[in-house]
Amino acid sequence: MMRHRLALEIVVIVSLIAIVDLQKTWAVLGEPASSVETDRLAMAGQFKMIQAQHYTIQEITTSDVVVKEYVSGNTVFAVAWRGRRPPDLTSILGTYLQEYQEASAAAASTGPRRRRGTRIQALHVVVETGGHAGDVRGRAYLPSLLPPGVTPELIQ
Amino acid sequence: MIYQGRAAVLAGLAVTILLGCGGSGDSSPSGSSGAGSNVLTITINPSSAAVCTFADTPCTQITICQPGTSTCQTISDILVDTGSSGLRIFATAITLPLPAVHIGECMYFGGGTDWGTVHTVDVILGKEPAVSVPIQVIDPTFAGQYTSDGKPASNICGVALVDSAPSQVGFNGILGVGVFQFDGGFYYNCVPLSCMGAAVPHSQQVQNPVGLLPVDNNGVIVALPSVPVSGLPSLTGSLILGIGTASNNQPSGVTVLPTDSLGRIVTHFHPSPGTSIQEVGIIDTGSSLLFFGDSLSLSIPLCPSDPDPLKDLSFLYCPPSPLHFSAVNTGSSGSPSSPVNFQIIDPRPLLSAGNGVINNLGGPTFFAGTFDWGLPFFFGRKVYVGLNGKNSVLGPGPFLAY
Repeated sequence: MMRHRLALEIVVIVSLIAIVDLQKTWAVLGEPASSVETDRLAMAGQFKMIQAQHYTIQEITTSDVVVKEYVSGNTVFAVAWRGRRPPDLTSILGTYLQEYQEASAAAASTGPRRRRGTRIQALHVVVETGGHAGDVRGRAYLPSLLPPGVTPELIQ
Repeated sequence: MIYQGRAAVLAGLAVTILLGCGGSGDSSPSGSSGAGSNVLTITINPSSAAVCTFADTPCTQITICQPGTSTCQTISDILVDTGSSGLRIFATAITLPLPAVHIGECMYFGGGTDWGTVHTVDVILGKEPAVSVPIQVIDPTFAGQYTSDGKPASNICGVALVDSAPSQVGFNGILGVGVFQFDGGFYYNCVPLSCMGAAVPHSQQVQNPVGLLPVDNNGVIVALPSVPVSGLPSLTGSLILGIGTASNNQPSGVTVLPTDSLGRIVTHFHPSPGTSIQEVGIIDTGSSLLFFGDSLSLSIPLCPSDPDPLKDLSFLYCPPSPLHFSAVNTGSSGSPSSPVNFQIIDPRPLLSAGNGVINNLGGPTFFAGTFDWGLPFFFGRKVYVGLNGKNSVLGPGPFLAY
């Protein structure tokens, strides 16, 4: 992983010319930031790095979606997305997939969801989705790993 | 959608087979709409609903027929959605025999994903002539991609869960009557256990059946009566097809807000006098409340959370006393503008009283800079949804007007 020595915003844009592979690999919540390096290589589109005060945002843009991976202390603590389709949550959630599915199923079987905007709070992970057809948004984060002063609202 | 009253009846799904219901061609010979033939009844929380039982969730019924025949099925509890395009119905709600197909579709919504097959059927809206249109048949298990409860198997849509059943989402299907003709979904060619991305021509893509009607094809009007502050147990309104095409859909005194290429307008929200925040706005019957702002910056408490999802209202604002706000909506390019005043109240007493129709219902948006004018916005208004690529007395679509 490239480390950033300059203050404030250092933006590195790497244009990758490749055929879009729909089965992309994304960063995994709670795992080392090195997993975003996998994305950078696997992705078509553009890669951009933004340095904030307490964390780094790795932003990947494809033809369908913009994904921002939030990294602090070399750990991915949040992922946000926006586009025509969401990124593959099964890989982003990693080991948290099962607890997310169980919490979703519990919410669905006892009280149905809202069509626009869902919030699933599982044991360790929170997943929020919204937007509308053609412009879907979402974020997944690990509340226990949010850096000091970082609120979920900052993850956009 | 907020859960409102437990839907006990899950069997039956409120569908009726109608044989000889007049598939195509029993309307007026010219194909034009007679008085009222272009109207679908919208109901919110009627006692008759088996599935569509959530607060502030508008549903209607439609009829589908085998192509070119009068073998038809009328299906109720279909969500009326100005935030998407195209008709999609759960396979489990369809008893009409349909042929096997190999085209699959992933359709992504803000709050869920639908996977299933694409079938061209005849669709009858109100008493309009039948139109031949591709629809999505929602079926998680198609081509072995998901389990029957929506969990990933081969997972062609790349999501952790897909919509699995009417009882889970609170509708038998969705009638998308938004500002676009095509649904923007992702299409695949499938064999029994495997799918590959496919370029599907427009004519075979799921699309807004309104745009295919012979006359009333340039958009729709959502007309819902006003709702008192104390709410109502249920409500009946209309989805009127066409804008300025018949005696019952002539607009007057409305402001036309052209949308951008994603169906969005601009909302200048005024959280307090003298403060204005410019946001992206959508006007959407598929949202059951006004999603805007956040609890912290607006200093509005959220309703209490509850470990029981049935009682958890923590996604709603619960102000100690009614709050009054204003906003100005404009077209996506900044004009024209149209002011809106609205109120937010604590909905708990209304919900406890069994009211499934609630005005002044709000909650925080998860995503800063967006204002989602959900169903409460529609109460007491006629909202015009102008289709992209069509003209009307209100000008070319895409637009929203009220």
